[in-house]
Amino acid sequence: MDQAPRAARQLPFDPLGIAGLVALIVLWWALSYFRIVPQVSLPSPAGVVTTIADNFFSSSYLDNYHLGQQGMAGNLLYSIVNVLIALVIACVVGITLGFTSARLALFRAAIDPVMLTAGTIPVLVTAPFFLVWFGVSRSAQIALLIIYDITIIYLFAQRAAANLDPTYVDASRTLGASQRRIVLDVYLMGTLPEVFGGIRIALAGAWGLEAFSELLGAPKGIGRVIQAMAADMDTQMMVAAIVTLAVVAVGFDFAIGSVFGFITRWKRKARL
Amino acid sequence: MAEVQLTSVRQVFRRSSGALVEAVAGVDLVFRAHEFVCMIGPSGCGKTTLLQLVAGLMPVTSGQIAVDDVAVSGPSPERGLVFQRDSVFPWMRSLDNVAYGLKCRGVDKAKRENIARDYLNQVGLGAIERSWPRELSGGMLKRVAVATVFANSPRVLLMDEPFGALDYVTKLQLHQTLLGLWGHYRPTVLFVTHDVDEAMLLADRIIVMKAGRVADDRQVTLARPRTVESLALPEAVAHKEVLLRHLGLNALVQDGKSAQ
Repeated sequence: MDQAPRAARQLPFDPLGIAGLVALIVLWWALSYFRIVPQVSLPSPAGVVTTIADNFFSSSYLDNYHLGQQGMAGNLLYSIVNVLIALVIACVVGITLGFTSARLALFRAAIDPVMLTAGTIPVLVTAPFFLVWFGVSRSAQIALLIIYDITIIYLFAQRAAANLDPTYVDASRTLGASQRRIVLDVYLMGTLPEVFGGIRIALAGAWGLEAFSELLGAPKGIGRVIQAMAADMDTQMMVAAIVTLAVVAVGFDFAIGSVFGFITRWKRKARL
Repeated sequence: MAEVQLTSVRQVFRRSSGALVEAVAGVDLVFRAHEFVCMIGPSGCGKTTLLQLVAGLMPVTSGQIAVDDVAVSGPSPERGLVFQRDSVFPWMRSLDNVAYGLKCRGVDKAKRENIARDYLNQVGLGAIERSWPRELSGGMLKRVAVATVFANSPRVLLMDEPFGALDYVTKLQLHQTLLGLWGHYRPTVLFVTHDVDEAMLLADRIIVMKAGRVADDRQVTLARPRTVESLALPEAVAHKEVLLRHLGLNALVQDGKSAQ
């Protein structure tokens, strides 16, 4: 009997990545502790942690800036909801458009220039238009994120579908699969590793873009917190807001990476 | 089982340069029910194209293909195809792969899993039903592919050089597996190969293709079950001589005898 190869084992985390993070915190602490950078420019890690703890679930300090009574958590939640709503909509639209354009040359010819244009125009240029179209509502920030997410997810879905071995599609057809089954069981399943990679890249960029888009007039959000603190030179609170946003972004990336890794566990050495 | 009729089948492709290529040049053939037919010929002779036309994966340029007098107009689970390349879905476990055709036909989960399990056992892979394809060797993947097609009970079985990339021992093992499954209900088999010995071990009939046309059509009456010793019988040697000459290997054939 022929022998099967052994399945590869992977660590659930990257030890080098953790070492890099620890090194960064140590460097930050050293710069602050030895006053290499003035306290007003770079607060200490301990001060930032204390600020987060004191202002996380409720903060009269932030309330003074009309940023709500729920502290940093309330502002984070606002930003998180915007990012996730945009990501879900972008996934549905981006994957559908990507798959369709991979299969239909005419559709691809029509939509590719639109997507490439949307993907290459700097967000700084387009952002004011969203403010004009949607006003200072939540819709403006979400619309901006949707456009950004769609251009990335579309490209990944299109390339993944175009690169999918046509033998799988032919095999499913000869086994009696309907068009619906071919899309769901072959195109979707076969392209998941690459599409998931696109979703993670889109999500990683979306946090910063969300914070930026809030500067254009959102009622609240972690970007608004950073803007308000920057205006008053409160670097400790500003760094605290940036750190919480970074932790949320890394946490979501780890959680989504774990879920995606489990779903695509059939793929050898899947590094999304 | 099904009889497959090919009438004046012609297939023309256009290359990117604009030149037309006639891959199949007016083929008339009838594959009788229960027949195990091997198609042999040099690369580019049109045998894989012909197989894909019978599978319904592309429309014929002209002519007609029919199964039991019903014209072929597209793919059907009644014409199962084992591909030269890996066609086992990497994202499904072995059992789910074998059961996939049944799932497409609406067979309920418990029943289709029982059928799939039975076929996995028959190809000697009962122990790996929960394995992912990436955990299987090339030979095991071919067994899964063969089990997948047989689980769908096709009336016509099309095989496109399915064992071409396998080592000698695995190939011989898979011949026995294939013949064992075929013996259950004897679907009509059209098997494309480059391997003359493989054709004689398996086929009732060998068709030689050259430049898109049928160059020879030979009945093989060697008794079954066949073994490697069968290949040394006078009938096998005579077939082999002719087939090697068709493949342009005249130097290997001397004075009417195989020179191997």
